Amino acid sequence: MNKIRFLDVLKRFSPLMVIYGVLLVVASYEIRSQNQTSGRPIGIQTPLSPEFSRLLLQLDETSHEGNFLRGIEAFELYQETRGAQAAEYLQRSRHFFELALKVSKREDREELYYYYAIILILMREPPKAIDQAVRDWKSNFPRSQNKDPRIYISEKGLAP
Amino acid sequence: MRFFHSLASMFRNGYILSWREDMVWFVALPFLAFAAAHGCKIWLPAVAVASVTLWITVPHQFATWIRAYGFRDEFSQWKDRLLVGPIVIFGMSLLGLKYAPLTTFLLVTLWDHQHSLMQQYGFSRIYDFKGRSGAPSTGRFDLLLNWVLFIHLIVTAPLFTELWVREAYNWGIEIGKSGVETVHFVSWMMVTVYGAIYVYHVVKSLWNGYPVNPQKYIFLFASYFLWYSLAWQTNSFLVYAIGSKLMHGIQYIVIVFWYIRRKVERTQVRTGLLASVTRPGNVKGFILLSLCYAAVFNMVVGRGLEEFGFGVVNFTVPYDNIAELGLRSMTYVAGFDLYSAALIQSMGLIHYYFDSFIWKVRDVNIQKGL
Repeated sequence: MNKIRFLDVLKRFSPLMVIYGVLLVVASYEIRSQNQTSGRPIGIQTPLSPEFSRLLLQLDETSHEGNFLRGIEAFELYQETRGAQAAEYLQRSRHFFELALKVSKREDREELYYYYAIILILMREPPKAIDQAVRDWKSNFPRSQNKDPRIYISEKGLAP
Repeated sequence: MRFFHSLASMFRNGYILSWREDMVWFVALPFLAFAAAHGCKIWLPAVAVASVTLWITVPHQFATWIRAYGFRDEFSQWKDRLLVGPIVIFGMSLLGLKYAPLTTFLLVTLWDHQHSLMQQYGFSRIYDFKGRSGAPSTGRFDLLLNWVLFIHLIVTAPLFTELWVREAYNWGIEIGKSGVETVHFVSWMMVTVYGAIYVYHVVKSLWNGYPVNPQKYIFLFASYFLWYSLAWQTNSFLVYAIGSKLMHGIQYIVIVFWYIRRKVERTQVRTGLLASVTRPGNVKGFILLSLCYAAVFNMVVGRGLEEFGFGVVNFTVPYDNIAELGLRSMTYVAGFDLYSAALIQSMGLIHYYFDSFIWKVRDVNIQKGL
C-alpha cells in the first residue's frame, strides 16, 4: 500500500523532479567552472571575447550586438591606455557604438547608452548632445543601477 | 456535386469560443500584437517591455492562480502539487540565483519558450476537440510540429542565433562561423523532413476519413507568423518580447476567463469570487481585479513607477544643462528626490484643500455624521 502511494507521489511530481534534477546537474557544472575561473566575470552582459564579437559581425555585418561588443572592447582598451593611443581607442569605441545605435535605437542593452554618454563627455561634445545621450539612457532604463556618468568618469580617473 | 460534397466532408470547423471571438483573440490578435510591438519600438523607450510585463504578463499569472486555486474540485485533484510546487520552485529559484545564476537564467528562458509553444499546442488540441477533427494520433504529430517549428525559430532566427551562440561562449563552447552554419543547415533539414511527414499524416488522416479543422491551421499560422516575423525581421528583443507577451498573455487570460465562466455555468456554482468576476457583463471586474494584482505585485517587488506608464511619464530623466544661466544638468538622483518631495508635499496640500470644504459644520449633510 505504502509502495503504491510512494509511486503515485513520484509519478505526480516526476516533471518537477526531472526539471530540477537536470538543473542540479547543470548547476554543479556551473559552480565547478566558477571555481576554476573565479577571475572571469560571469553574466550575460559581460563582453565575452573578441572572437565572439567578430563572429557576430561575420554572421551579420550590421549586428547590433557585434558592434556594441566591439565598442566595449575598444572602451576597455581606452581605460587601460594613455595618450594618443587612448584617444584613438575612444574614437573607435564611439564609432562602433554609433553603428550599433544606428541599427537599433531602443534596444535592451543599457551599457550601449550608458557608455555612449560617457564617451561624449570624455570627447567634450556640446552639452546638448551629452544631455540627449544621458536622456536616452535614463528614459530607456529608468531603474538603472549605474552611477551618474560624471561620477563614473571621476571615480575611474578618466580624463575628458 | 459529389466531389464538392466529399471535399466539404474533409473539413469540419470548430471554434474555441465562437467564430467571431476566435477571429479576434486567436487570429487577429497576433497581427495586432505585431503592430503594437513595432509601435512600442518606434514611439516608446525600452522600459515599455517592463510595462507590458506588468499589465499583461503579471495579470496572466494571476489568471493561473484563480484558475488553479479557485475551484474546490480541481484544488483537491491537484492539492499536493498546488501546495508543494510553489514552495519547491521558490526555494530552488532563491538557491539558483545565489549559486548558479547562469543555469537559473537558462532554466527560466527555456521553460518560458516551452511554455509558450505548449500553449499554442494546447489551443490546437482544443480546436481538434471542438471540431471533432483529426486522427487519434494527430495530437502527437501536432506536438512534434510545434516543437520542430519552435526549435527551428530559436536555432535559425538571427535574433536567437546571437543568443544561443553567446550562451555557448558563456559555457566555454567557442563555435565558429561554419559551426553556426552547420547548425542552421541541420535545422532547415529537420523542418523540411518533418514538414513532409506532417503533410503525409494529414493526407493519410483524410484518406482514413478523419476531417481537418481549418481553424486550427489558421490559428497556428497566425501564431507562428508573429514569432517568425518578429524574430527574423527585427533586431530587437524588445519587439519580440512585447509581441510575444501580448499574444501569450491575452490569449491565456481569455481562455481562463471563459473556462471559469463555462464551468461556473455548468456546475451551477453561483457564489464566491470566481462566480462574481466571471458573471456575464462583469468582464470589467475581472480585468480590474487582475490589474490591481499587477499593481500590488509591482509595488511588492519594488519595481519603478515608470513601468506603470510605459516610460512615457519618467521622473528620473535628468534636466538639461542651461548653459546660458551657468547651470549644469541635474542628476537623475536629484530628479527623483525632487519628484519624491513633490509627491509628499502634494499629499499634504491635497489634505489641506479637502479639509477646507468637507468639515463645514453648517452643512446639513455633515451634521448627520456628527
